[in-house]
Amino acid sequence: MSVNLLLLFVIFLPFLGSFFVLLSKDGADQTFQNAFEASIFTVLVNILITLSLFSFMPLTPALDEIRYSIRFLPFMKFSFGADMLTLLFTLGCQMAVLAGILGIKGEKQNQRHVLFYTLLYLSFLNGYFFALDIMSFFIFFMLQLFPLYMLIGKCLPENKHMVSVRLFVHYFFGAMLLLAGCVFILSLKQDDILLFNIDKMHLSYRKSIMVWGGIFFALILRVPVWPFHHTLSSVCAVLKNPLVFIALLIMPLTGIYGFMRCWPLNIPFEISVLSPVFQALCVVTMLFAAFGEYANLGGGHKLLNYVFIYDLLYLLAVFLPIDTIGENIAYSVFSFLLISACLVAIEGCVLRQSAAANISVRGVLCKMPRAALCYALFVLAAAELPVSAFFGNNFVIVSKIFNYHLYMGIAVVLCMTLGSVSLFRRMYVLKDESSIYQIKEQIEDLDMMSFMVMMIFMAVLFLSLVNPLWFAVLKGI
Amino acid sequence: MLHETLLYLFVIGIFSLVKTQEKHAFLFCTVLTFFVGLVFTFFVMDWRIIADSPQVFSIGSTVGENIKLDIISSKQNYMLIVPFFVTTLLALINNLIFKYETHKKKMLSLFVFNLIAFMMLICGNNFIQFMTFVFVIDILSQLLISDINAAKRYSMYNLVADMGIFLVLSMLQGKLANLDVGNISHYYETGRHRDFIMFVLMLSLFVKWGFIFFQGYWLDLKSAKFHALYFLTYLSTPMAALILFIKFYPIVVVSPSFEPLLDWAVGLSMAWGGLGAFFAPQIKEKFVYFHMLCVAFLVKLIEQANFIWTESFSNILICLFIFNLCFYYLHYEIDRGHGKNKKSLFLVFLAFLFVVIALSLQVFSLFIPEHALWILAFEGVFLFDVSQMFVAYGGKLRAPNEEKNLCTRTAVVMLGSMGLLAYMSSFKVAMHGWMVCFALLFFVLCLMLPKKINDEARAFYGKIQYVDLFAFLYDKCVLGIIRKAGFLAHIFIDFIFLERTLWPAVSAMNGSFVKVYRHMSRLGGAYYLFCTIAGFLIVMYLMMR
Amino acid sequence: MLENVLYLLSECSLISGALFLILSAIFTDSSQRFCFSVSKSAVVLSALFAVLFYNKSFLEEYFVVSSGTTLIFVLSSGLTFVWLILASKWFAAHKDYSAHWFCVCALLLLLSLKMISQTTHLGILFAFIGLLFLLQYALFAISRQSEELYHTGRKYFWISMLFMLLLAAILIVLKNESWQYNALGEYLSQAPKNIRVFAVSSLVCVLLFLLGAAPFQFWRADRIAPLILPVAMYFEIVPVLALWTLFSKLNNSLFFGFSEKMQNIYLVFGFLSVVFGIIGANASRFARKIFASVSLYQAGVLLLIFSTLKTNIFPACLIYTELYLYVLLGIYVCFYAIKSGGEYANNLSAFKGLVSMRPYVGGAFVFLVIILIGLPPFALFLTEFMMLITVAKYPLVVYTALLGLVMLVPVCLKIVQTVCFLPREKSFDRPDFTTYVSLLIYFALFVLMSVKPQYILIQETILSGGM
Repeated sequence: MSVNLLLLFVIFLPFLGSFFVLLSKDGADQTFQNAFEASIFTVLVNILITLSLFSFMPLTPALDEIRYSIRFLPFMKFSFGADMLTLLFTLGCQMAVLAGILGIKGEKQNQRHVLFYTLLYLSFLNGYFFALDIMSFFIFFMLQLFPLYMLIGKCLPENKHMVSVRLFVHYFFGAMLLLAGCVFILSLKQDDILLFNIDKMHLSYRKSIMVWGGIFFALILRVPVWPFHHTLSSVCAVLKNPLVFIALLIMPLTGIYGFMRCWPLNIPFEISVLSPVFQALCVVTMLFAAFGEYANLGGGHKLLNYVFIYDLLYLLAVFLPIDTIGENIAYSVFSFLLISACLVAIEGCVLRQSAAANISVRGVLCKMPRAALCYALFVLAAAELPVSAFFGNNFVIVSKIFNYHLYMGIAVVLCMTLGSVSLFRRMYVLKDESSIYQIKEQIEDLDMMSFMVMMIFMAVLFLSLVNPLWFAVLKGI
Repeated sequence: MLHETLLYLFVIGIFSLVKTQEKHAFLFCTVLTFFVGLVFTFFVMDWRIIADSPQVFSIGSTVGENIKLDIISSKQNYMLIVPFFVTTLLALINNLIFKYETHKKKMLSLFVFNLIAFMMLICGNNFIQFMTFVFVIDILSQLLISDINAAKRYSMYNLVADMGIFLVLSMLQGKLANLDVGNISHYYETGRHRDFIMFVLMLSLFVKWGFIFFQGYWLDLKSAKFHALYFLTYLSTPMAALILFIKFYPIVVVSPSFEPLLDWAVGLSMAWGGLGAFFAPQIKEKFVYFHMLCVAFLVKLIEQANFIWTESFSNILICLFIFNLCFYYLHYEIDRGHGKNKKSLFLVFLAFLFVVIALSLQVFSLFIPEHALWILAFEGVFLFDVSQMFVAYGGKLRAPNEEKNLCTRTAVVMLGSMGLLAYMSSFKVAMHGWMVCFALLFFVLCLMLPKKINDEARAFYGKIQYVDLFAFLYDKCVLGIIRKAGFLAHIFIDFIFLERTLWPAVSAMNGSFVKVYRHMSRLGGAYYLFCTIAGFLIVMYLMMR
Repeated sequence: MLENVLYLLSECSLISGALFLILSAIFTDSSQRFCFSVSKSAVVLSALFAVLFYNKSFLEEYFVVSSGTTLIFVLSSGLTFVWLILASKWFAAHKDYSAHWFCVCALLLLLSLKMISQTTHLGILFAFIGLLFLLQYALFAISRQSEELYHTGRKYFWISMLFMLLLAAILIVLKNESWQYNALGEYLSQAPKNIRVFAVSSLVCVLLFLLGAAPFQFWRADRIAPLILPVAMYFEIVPVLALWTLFSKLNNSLFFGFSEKMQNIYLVFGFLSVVFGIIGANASRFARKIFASVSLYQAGVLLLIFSTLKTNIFPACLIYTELYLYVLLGIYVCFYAIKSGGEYANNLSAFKGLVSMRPYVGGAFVFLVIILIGLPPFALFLTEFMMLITVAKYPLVVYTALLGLVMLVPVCLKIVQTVCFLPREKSFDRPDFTTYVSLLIYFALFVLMSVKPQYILIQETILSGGM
């Protein structure tokens, strides 16, 4: 099959699938079984197509190995392409969404619309990752916001809608700054401005401030650096739906990806002067997040703070003056997505079961052996268990941070430690056997399909450590 | 070679996971234990014929040379593996014969995989491999701890220690850009912060060993079974830390603060361990304190021997393991059997004495006059504590003096025999042989001490045992601060500054504009006129400028 | 001579349609349906004749008919046609309102707009602006819903008379000069300062008042909520293209001598319109008023674009306005479809939970609201983007336009939230089948325009050919 066709499939298949989901009929008792199956099928097919794209990757891929261009207007040409970074991010997001979909399987409320918006969101996310030129990059950057808002709006309580508006305005503001940057870029040179060519343009002093400043703020507003972290954390704090939570957790990674694509190694002097301040802010936010996990907040907060720590780790890594760290970040992000998505899905399942039985979460995992096994494995992986690609690549990233600045490295490792310890504490709360004798109600364990999928994810994590390109063996699919 | 040994053990481990019926479990375990013994035989044969130059077997990834598993078959590695293989074999045999163990298959699997992890740790050559198998050993150990709070503390402490090791190794990797452990000696030339690296690494190792300030989580393990306890002390994280200590010594010895730090830590740990072993009333607590004493001493011995692992160290480890087994059987015979079986009680005493003699022999064989104080201090405290343990257990028996006399008589007999041997060989016994005699004499003298000392020690411990100073300090000075800092950060930064100040300010500004606008709109005709005139004036002004 | 009469056929269609309706209102009792049929026919005929004689003018010294002005008129006619279709539905449900006079006003308004956009004579402009004001007041009168509206109408009348007086004063001041735009422009660039300032200021004020830009938005954006739906729709959609054409013409013909001053004027009023538009949208509780404020914001953006004084910026701006009106048209189609108990919803809270009962209408409404704030890659976004690229040398304009959108986002999200997420309080009437069909056609065209924007950009060539 033509590789260009596969590229377009990956982008548009979830879009088509979303309409199938929307038009699917509800099952008996208003269950959303048909919608659920349609979305699982769509995501699985998309994962398979993405895996087959890997087989087109040589061992040392260049960005233009796969490229597909569409002439839209005389002055506008859209280019899509893929390299290892793209495919890892795409695959990671799709697998994370799959975990999220499995996580909402037992929900009582009809989730058809949630699945519809999720697939739309996934489609736009794929487009964003595959975009090669600035215009299509912006279009998908902006398009992600709308299904995301609808997802959040569907799941928030009525009196909490203000937080979702704040989040949307926050992201939209960034998108407008990026649009301004695009306007200035395209006013100088129309047609086919590829992302990695932006720094080769000859911009005047004022224009370069506006372009790079716009790109910087557009992307940084997605990452939870202080004070921009609050909008995301205030939404996540009130969300109960694991799938929407996962969709939100992917947003900071889009900012990271954007930086990896657009940000040049030699940044303009006017902005490079602010680098130490920016790095200090990142580290301070990491410390806040790490300490914040101990502030007696709920499980959702702990996971969120944990995610923030790693988002900021990747951001610090992106801004290191090294050009060989990209693949490490990509592999680490891939593993990170799998781990955090599975943890969110299991946490959601646990919360749902405890709410249904009207008991506290303490010790619930003792009655859910499959969920307990998965949770333990993923917590170990999250705590840098060295049998996953997460550990190996984080090790390399942290070592490069140490090489750059000692105190930054110490702060990073401290935050990672605190984050891991917090997850462990949460795990032991959920596995506290002293409370299980009080649980008399029937607790439903994780269903077999979800369990098998999570075990497969665990195997993927393990294999990725030993052979990062193990997906490349699936040639000819 | 080692990779073959590992393969055999791996196959045995996989087989041990096969589900069988309960009635076949014993037979199954016996067969597998036999095979492990067979593998050990091959291992020893390979050790004898191994060449001087090491042979490397690598399992690498196709991309990135750094992610690989090395199995280096060298004399040194064989020497290092021996004590763990022997103790694992002993543990497997004990698992078989001990009638109260109901999960024989599970224990067998655990021991075999643990051994594999140790072997991979020992024959590794890169940082990733070290960290991987240290973690694996941590996880396998956790599976044995049934008490949730003990398991939690165990995992937390080890996680923090492992992250410390992670920090150190990532600093090394950052400077050396190479994962091979052979290159760490170059860090001294290219790297900086050697004091910091030494401090962090040693602190992590102290946590894993359970040295002073970090022994709290070991004491929590007193709720674990004895089986678990002896595995955890001599086949688990402290031993993994020992191996790391040997592998990474080049980066710690370059720091001038290393020796004083180690001396203080070892000294305090030995003192605390010795005191605790004497005072603690419960046998498992004694066990933990003995472990603290012995491991601290062992660390010092290794440092004194310039980090070269010799046969003496292997023997010491095996002796300590057997010592712990004797410990258990003593508890079993007296606390559970009430000393009814005189014959087995006598055999336990005898085994204990033999182990004490063997241990002392090995320790004294490493005697160097410059470090005489450490060895003599260890021997003195160790023998005193063991003797008082006999005194205390003797007090539990129906005829207390009878058993104490039994032990004393046994010791005197052994002393006499050793004296006779020395005389028959015309006093041509090595120096450490004479030292052992004197140590045994000391032991017998300690046995003579009245039971009253033990009772008074028990009473003293009873007064202080409810004050867990270290746990209190941790809770208040470390965890409490972290909790408060987190809470304050959440409250002041997120809640007060952003949620209650910044956003309301923005909303208020927006609200005031809206209010003014609505008010103006309600004014009607005057508003129309005002706007018209204002617009006109603005235009005129701009035209006239 | 005959051919000159032929060239008047377009205007004659409208006039005869109006006359016919007046006579039928006086002498017969024809139905509302008949009135609307007549008026729609008149509009269609007028447009056809305009296309047929697309560059032929009856009085060439007073009117310029080119491909550009014809295109504007055809588009305006199209909008009027749709407006009449939708208005007929409203009047069918409100039989106590007079459809005759409404249709008469509609036809005459279209005629006035045509004349305003095609004339090159200030006197004729004055006359037709006067007619426009009177007819618009008549629409206010038709919307006799409340006493408040009655007073609003009166105030509008007096204010518009004030502007008529201003225009009259200009004519008096310039009575000795030629009232042709080009000649007048040349005169004004050399005229004494007082005359120049007065004339230009007055003309600019009249223009801004017509466009409803700030601070003259009080009669439109602020008062649109209580108007009946057809009248509100007229003010929002029908005259916009023609008035912007007039603006462009006057700018090119009369104000070319004072570019710097015009730049400042457009900048200030553009900025004011943007600000008032944003505040007005955030302050409103009525759906129509929100969109009127958004239109004010768009007017402000256009003024800011014009303030750059880029040559040939007008075609891009007009295409953008056209697409904006298309989106607004869709929104008004949805307004017509959203009824509860026979009453058209006006207050935003009346839209609560619309999607749960009327998913297609609610979904279309939400989609259009989101497009208004610039959802790529649809046609509206593309044209806005093209416009901004043209003025990229003026970062202030670009940032004001884009950041203004950010401040409009909370309003749009408030609408989306109300329609989609809040629980429904009352039931919504089922829209008729034609509404669904029209929405379907509407979206099909919209998608076509987005996928093949070349079809709309072709207008740029036509408009660049001259106005």
